[in-house]
Amino acid sequence: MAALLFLISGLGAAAQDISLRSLDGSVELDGSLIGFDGEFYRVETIYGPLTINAEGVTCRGPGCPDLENFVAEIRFAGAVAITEQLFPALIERFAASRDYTLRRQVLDARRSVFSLIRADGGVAARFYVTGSSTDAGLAALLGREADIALATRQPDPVEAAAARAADQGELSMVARSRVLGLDALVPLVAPGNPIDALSLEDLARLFAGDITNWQDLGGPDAPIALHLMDGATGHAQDVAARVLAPFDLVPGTGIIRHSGPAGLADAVAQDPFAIGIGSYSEIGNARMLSLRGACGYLQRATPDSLKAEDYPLTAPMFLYLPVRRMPQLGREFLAFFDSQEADRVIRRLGFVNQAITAQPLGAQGERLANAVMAAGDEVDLDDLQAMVAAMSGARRLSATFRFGDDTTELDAQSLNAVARLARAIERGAYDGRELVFVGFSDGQGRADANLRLARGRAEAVRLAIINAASGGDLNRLRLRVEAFGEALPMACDDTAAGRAVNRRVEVWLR
Amino acid sequence: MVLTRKTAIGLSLGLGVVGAAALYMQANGAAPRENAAPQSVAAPAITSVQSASEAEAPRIATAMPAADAATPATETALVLPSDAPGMRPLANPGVALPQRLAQANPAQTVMTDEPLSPFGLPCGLTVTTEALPAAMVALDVMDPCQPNARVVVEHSGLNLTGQTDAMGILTMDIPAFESPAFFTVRMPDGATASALTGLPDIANYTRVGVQWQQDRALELHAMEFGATYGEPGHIWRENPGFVARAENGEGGFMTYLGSIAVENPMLAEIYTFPRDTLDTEGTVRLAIEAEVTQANCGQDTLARTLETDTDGNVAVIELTFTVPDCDAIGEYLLLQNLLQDLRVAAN
Repeated sequence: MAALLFLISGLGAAAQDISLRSLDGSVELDGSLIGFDGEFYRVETIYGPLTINAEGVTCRGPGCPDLENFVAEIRFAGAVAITEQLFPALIERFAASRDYTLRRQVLDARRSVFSLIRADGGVAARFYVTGSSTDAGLAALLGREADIALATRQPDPVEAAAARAADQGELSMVARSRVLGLDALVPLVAPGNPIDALSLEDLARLFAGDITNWQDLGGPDAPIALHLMDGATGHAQDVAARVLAPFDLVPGTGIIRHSGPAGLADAVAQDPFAIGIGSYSEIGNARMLSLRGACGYLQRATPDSLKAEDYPLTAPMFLYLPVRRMPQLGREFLAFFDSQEADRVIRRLGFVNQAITAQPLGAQGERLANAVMAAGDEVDLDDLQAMVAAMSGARRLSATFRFGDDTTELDAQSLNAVARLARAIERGAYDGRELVFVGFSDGQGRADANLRLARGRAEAVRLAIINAASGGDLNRLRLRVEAFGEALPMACDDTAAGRAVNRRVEVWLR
Repeated sequence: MVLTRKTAIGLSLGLGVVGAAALYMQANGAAPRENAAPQSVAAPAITSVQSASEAEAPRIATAMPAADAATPATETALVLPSDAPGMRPLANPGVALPQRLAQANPAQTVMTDEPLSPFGLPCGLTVTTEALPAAMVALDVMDPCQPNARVVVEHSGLNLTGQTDAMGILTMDIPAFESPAFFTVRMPDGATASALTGLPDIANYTRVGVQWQQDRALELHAMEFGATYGEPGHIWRENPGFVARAENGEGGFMTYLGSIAVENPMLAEIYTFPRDTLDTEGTVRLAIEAEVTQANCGQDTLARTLETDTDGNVAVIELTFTVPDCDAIGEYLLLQNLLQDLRVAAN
């Protein structure tokens, strides 16, 4: 009720469309209603916009909202990859978990209104869902035509600047974004295509138009048909930025474009001479290729490799929230995304959720083989033995923390992993156990420097977890730091993507 | 029906209007699964007969049925609100099935002074269900004094109309969405009866259904593992597959349900797909289509989708959309992404 301490006296209430009065009648505030979220009034007053809890006041005037029959309305807009099947399924499960009946009104092929209906027949909320593109979704968020943007990539600097200019705050802030689930860019071919793996460089040269015949990749003498998503989609922009740009290449001409990942997968599956870059969540009836590093490591998109970001083209799906307060049911819907029920929907629809899983380290023979292969001048037998000793009996959690180039700043997926791991600790999931934060680096530069860097990052992650898990009793488990530098590479260091995969902090559970 | 039929057209906009029919029901269909009854496997199902209006009205139960049956003409008006065009929620939706059955069964022995049908059979409604292969249910309805009558069948959010024959008999084979499968049958005279059957193999199948009202001629199409129109893997009304396909893990089958001969028909198409296929991996794409006809052009359409998931939930979504205007007669409305594609993972 702090807002009502602004006492108003002698003001003519002309042109003011609501008047809020405290229940004891001692305070009155006039203004025009900006919004009502079912819980709070937002009122434009002579003091500027104020937010006032509806419980403590009565409202009079023509602008007063209907308190009894308040309908939360939220507009979602953005990537088709999210709006097509995943979002409707999440809304359905959310509605069912709250015993609402769900009614979907189809406005056109890409727009629907989902009404959540209470048992008494009243409408509790309307979710407007528009499938367009990440570009259009972010633009709609900035233009206030949408409340929440659904994106398959993070905002670029131009969009971030536009957000600041539109008084929409900092889009990169953690509080403004959520990672809804994980997807990945994956090369797709028809089931009968003999190729099994491609290097990132070959993939880039294919889509730049440098490689035009399957013969150049050891296949039959046949021209290659290229498939990508529409240029306006976040997916295609991600391909340009993460697959082609590192090799200073741009997409060539004659690429067949698709508006949705399902259409792309179907088209590729039907043409034995086609290759496309599609989505892990929508392989359809096509076949996914692994990525091969120049030094020989294979990387394949799997639920584990996406969760741990071990696959270099992991692509989280983001929600971007408005700076203003959401209606209560909208906040509950966002909280639902972190539930096990939502995790099951995400998995069922072919995406990867962020639930923390644990893999026995002993089952990771391939990683050890990599380590042996990479050992040499700078990593010797003692280092390897120390690492193997540390690994024995431990399990690796899927939560893995990765950093930008030359920074100690965690990326978006890792920030979400901090929150998830912290909540698991607060729940007591690891009581009586030991979590070891194990730092690794890429192989660029001197090994001893890399080791120090790796240890520093591991310590940074440990502190971030301790801060985030402030609601838990940290005496019930042990949090320790270990570092092995460049001793356990997972990808080749010859590309930026490979080095990014190697620079990481893993969490081992003992 | 050749390939040129695929002139998909966009949906015209039609805000509001349709929603006014105020359908509502429990989103989850029947009861929570955790406390479901031990399944009576393939046994002759538990049957309960309930007279008159609602489950919570035992006081009138003993007297009503005979009177109802004797005066069918006057009952018609009474009945309409109950089954048109919406679907009522199950009685006591929060209560577990066995309890509901018990509560809904106050009139098991009301056949005292029973009048006889023209064929000499005693009047009154009996409903039995029996488990069939592929988690289907054989539903038998008999009410000898209500021949050629409109019958409403309700199951897990699926609502269908059938019609009794001259003897007052109706049989339907219905793919079940839940186990135990709870069926409620409503007759024009207000009599209702329920039956319950356990389906031990229900977890082996995924089910997807679309249900509609009136003659909207919706079609459910399943494209199995990359099949295109007209190929063997394109499963729809004119190439429905067969139950053995699903039992053998080869593919799915389509079931068309409901009688269009009655007033306010409620019809459905249900696609059944095995969860464990032989060796195929990939995706089955699902789409709802509707031919734009003189009868449905420009009309608001009310439909409902039902989908099972691996957790045993039935997702029910009420659907409203507007069929394109009448200058599009003969073209097809293609509704994609209203149903989730089925993903079959590799072993």
